[in-house]
Amino acid sequence: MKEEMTSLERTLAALSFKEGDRAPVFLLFTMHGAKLLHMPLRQYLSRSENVARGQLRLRELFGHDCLYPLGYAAAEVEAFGGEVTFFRDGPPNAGRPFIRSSEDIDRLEKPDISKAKAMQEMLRTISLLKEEAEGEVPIVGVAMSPFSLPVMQLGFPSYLDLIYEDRQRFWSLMRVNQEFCVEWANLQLEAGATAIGYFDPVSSTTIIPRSLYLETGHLVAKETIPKIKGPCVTHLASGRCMGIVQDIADTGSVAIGVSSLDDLGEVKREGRGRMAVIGNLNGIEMVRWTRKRAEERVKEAVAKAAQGGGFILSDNHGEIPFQVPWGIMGWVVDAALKHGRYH
Amino acid sequence: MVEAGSLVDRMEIRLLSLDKEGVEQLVGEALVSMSPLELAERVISPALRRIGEGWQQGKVALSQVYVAGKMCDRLLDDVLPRAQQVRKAQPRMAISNLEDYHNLGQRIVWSVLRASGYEVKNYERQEVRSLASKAKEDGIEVLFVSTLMLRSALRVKDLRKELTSNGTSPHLVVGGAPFLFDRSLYLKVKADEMGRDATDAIRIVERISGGPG
Repeated sequence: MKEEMTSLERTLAALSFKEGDRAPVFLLFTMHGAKLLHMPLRQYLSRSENVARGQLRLRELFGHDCLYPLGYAAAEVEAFGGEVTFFRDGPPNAGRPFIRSSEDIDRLEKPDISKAKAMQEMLRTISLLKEEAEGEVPIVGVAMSPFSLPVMQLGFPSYLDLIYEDRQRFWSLMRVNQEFCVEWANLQLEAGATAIGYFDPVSSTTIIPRSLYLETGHLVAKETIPKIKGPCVTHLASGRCMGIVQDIADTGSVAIGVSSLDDLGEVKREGRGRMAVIGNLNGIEMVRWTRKRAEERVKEAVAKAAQGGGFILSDNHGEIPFQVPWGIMGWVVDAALKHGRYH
Repeated sequence: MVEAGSLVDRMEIRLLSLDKEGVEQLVGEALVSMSPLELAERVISPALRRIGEGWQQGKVALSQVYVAGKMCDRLLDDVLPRAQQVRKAQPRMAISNLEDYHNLGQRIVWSVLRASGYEVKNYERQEVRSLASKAKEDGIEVLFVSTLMLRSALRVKDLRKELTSNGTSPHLVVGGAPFLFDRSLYLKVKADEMGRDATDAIRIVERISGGPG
């Protein structure tokens, strides 16, 4: 048996296509810490101390390989002045779109992140986690891609209309969002994040055809990712990636978050050693998994993608639903420890 | 007379290429030998169904389904003379997006159903209580509910309760990402059935109204 590695060593081995002691497991919890701390979700997410404490307690409980300081993605639209709706049993959602006319795009300016409360809390969470992680656990920050953020800024249908019908304004929106994304990602890296999850669901082939991706989201990512001063993982948040795997590798991403709709093994092969795969446990279905089902799913993912490294076991969306019970997460980790070892 | 089958092939290609002028030209050609409602039923609806099936198979992207549905919906509105805006015989239908501002699915299903000749009330975003109350007020018989997040998908169960306590029991059809990722979730939330996409929505309506479905 190989010598026990730290979570960071294990993850770096995976990203370098080497077999560590076992395949790393990333449990991407954003809300479960509130349950552990017996706090309403809104209260939990409002303070960096809560989220940091929640993340550390969750890692003590499950022994997984990352810390995930993300509070909620909608914090980015909050910074632009958008509304956020909180729920007691699910992630906060961006409220009514704040860009309601073409002129709103013309007037849009990059917000001042130093005045964005929720984002500042997330930066403090990262700093607190960095102190505790002692360089042994990767801290994964999150930035919405400039190309996908507009779903929360304009609403999905209006954003698609913009992409198809007003390319000039689309690019003007991209300029603002790119500047914002790069600054936000780099602030997280400065605060102590090890890597950035570049969440880009609109680029998925579930949402737009490859031809359109190549002239929009791909160009945006190719311009944005190199300006982020740390490793980036492109995550399509449950969207399919087959057909654009090589294109995503061309953006400089070191890994890709894979949907349960895609075949993990095929995506890894398609990446040809240029990008590790992260995934692809179905978080929605996970809510009702039995121990047997959890073990089957983990075993299947490991069988498809673990050989030769380049694989991190995780959910397929980048966020484990609030409704997934503790017991099931424990079964996932047990199965990963049992089947994910390299010999 | 132009064969409907060949028109469907051409319509599908032009819709997927977002060739608005080409689609308009084809509609003009078809209207020489068929009524606007026949156009919806025999050409537009089958073309949109194929596009929807392409999405189910991962060959077509959601943005293409959205644009195709929207384009056809607008065209049909243009060609249906005002006086004849009675659409197909059908149950009273409505569609809503439960508690989310950013849902694309609801808009797509609404456009595609309308482009297929059906009249569907669009309630846009609603909370459980307001949706149940609107459905009762309008005597809705088929209610399509789209959700984006698991949390809102689970709220469908509350919607069912609210509808029952209002004394209404529309055929409740759910759709959206959570239902695609867990195919049995619709049973848990007490919906009558789930649709994977707009194509399924057309099939369901046709079945209920005794059409080809």
